[in-house]
Amino acid sequence: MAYTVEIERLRAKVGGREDMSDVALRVTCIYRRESGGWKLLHRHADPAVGRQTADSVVQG
Amino acid sequence: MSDRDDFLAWVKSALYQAELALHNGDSAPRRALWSRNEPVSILGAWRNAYGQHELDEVFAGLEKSFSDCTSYAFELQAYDVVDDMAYTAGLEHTSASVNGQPRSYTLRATQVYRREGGEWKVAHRHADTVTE
Repeated sequence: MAYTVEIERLRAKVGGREDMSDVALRVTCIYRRESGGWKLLHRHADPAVGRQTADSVVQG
Repeated sequence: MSDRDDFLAWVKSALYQAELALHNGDSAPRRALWSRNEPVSILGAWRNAYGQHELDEVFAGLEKSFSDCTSYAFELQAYDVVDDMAYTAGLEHTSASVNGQPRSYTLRATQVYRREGGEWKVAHRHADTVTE
């Protein structure tokens, strides 16, 4: 098993918009080696690339 | 007990107890379950950390923020164990005081584990807030 921790930065048209958007994601990927090579098992991505206060992540 | 059963039992006991303790303001049990070897990393609900030193800083900060945990539950959604590595993915449901204010919230959490000296240790955590 292997894992990677990345910041993914991409530029694309998102959600059918006319304009290009810059997207940054924090990404964790987990892989398993199978007969065909390394395969992705799990991906966890979120857009929280900037710093946040403790209070801001709590709902309610 | 199979590897998978062993690992699940550890998640439901030692790991669970450590998370409970953290949300009551004591990060020592959680720190003890994290690896002392590099690499370690957190993409946290609050802060990111890379390396042992930053890890210690984050845990010290979290410890000060949490108290009076009235409820903590881990809803395991996916996991696997392959040799000396494992992962879990699921939802953490917490009710605790954050900086003195009672809160209830859910985090999506993915963790990666390494077996070191026969013991499971956490190597990486990725958590973010569940939004509807």
